[in-house]
Amino acid sequence: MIEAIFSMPLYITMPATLIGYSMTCLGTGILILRLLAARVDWMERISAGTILATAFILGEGILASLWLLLALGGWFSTRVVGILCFVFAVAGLSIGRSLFSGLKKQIASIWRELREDTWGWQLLAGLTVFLCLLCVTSLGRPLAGDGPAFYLALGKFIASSNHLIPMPGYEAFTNVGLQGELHFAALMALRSPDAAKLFPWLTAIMAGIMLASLGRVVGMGRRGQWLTLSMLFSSSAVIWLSGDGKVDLFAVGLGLAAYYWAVQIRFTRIKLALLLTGLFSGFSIVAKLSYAPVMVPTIVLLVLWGYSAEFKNRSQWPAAFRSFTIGCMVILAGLILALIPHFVKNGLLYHNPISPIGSGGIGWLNQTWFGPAVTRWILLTYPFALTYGSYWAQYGNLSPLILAFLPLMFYLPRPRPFFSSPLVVITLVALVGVLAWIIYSPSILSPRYILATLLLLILLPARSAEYVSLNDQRPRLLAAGVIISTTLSLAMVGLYFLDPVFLPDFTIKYLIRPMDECDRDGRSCWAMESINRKAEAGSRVYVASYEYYWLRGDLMQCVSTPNDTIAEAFGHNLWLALYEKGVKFLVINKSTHSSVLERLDLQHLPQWVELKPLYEQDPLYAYCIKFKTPPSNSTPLICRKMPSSPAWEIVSP
Amino acid sequence: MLQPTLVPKRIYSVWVKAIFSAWIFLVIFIYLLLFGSPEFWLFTERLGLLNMLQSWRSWLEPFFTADYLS
Repeated sequence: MIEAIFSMPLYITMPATLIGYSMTCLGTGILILRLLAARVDWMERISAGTILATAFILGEGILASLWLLLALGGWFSTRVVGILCFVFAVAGLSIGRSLFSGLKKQIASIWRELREDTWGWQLLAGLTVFLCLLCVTSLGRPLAGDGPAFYLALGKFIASSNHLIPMPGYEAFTNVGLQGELHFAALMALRSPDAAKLFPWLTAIMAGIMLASLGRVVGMGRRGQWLTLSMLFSSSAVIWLSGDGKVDLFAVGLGLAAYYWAVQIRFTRIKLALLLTGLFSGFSIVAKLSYAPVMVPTIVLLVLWGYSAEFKNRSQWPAAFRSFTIGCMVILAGLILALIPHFVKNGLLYHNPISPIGSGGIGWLNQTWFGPAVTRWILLTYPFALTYGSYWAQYGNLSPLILAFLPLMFYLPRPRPFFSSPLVVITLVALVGVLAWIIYSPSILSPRYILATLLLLILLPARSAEYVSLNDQRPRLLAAGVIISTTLSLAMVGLYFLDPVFLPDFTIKYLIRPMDECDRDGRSCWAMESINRKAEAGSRVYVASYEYYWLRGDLMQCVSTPNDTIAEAFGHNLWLALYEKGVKFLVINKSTHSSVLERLDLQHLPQWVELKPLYEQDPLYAYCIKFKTPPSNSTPLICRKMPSSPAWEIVSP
Repeated sequence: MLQPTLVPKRIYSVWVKAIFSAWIFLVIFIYLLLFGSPEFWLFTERLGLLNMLQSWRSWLEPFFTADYLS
């Protein structure tokens, strides 16, 4: 019966898996919230939408940790994942029924308010929702780059082997925090790599809800919240991450949830807010290690602000200090709880729980992207570089609306006392976070490295623009300017990404199947597919390419990479090494691994080597290798399926 | 939500409003120059502004681009 479900058309299985898995995240989050607090709907001030978004993101964090422990133990099978997903979804959703009726009322209220607003704001809201929904069409976007190289590939690797080990070719990189990768693995275990591709988009929507909820905390009305979402979805740093298989959007959701609950500490001193702050902070750091130097100071500042009112009266200092210490302990407990699975993984796989710190090969932690002159220029023009930059590996910008609406803050009434205003404090905290990043890594300009913190900068311009739109007097230049510029920005961003990210026609073709994965992803896929068709189970493929996501699951586990061979080996010696490794197939990406091609010296093959071309379309080449009478006495290694497990291991026969 | 006391809003000067409006559209216009869709460039071509705007773009671009380790 399960096979019958899996073999249904893609346009049914993909959305069903995506929705089902989202319900699992939601259910898990609701269960945990219920476990931590007696009543899920205990906070009447907080909207159902915010609680549900919190539950979804919390569920993501908890599930990723659970999947990680299962994968480390080798129990990450379709059956285990499927049963757990079903149980969590059903249990959580039945407990959180009241939240859904609250959400229904909230949506009805938003709809009513929108209908009562002017047509300009209706258009703006409609375009925002449309742009958000357009991200679904990133399903038709060809996979390339980091996603198929590591993040999605690791998901497939775990799903096909049911366990987690350092991925061949990325042995020194698998020590990063794995949050998004494990969701990819779970969705692939449920046989839906396409749902995995779209899952970060759902996380971005939850991140948007958390950001809009923060907007409510800083005093925004509905217009301000729509502007917040407009700025979020017109930020190319968010759009580029849609459907590309990268995991940065997971960190954004977790980071914004951490900020939301850290701000709540000011208003409600319940332990749950403290624990959630710690948990979300920890999960976001695991999801993106570059968040660590930014999240730590910003969360500390927000917590200090949360407790500052208690320290005003000197006579109450002992009580305030006690309360503060207990609060910090709870936050720390949450943080450590979130980090423990990551430490366990690195302890088991790398014998260093805090790896990559203290491990060899951590060049990616300490990078320099530009020389001193360019770095100085970037720092001098930071807000403009974030908006207009196309620097190397920048991968997206913030919405131009942030910069455009920033001067409108001068119209905002000055709050008294100044530092009591959540808007002032959140904005200053975000600036401190950006400053911390600049000090830590001045030459890396890439919004995705600190995106959760950067997105906090949306709140001030959005609130300012909303205030102006409500209070502008004739001639209503600014009120009109806000609507026209936002509408224009949403439209132009949508049009700009219509080819590189939003591909509605490809998505439809892909879903109804005149187009398959290789039609979409191109030559890398075709080259590996040519090997998939020919190779017997457990054949070893020598992969001279950063990406081998498209190889069959068993072949992925058996690959040999340039990391396995001696760097200096050339020609005859390299072929001999490949023979001894038991390699039977070869795939080379000439554009990234031309040095390997030179070392293989294909024009002057040893007489005992015969190559049969399987795929030859520049820059991808795939061959079947036949070793006739190799000058070696050693028996080649073999890749063997482990007993009662889908995992394969490389052994001497 | 606990909101601090707010000072009453300021008087809106038409000149300040005009300057802020100009700023808003300048920011968006520069963004369009750098990240304009093909439709935008087609539109400018119809207006006969393509060459001028392309030259502005090629003047602006070097301020916001750099290669690895440059």
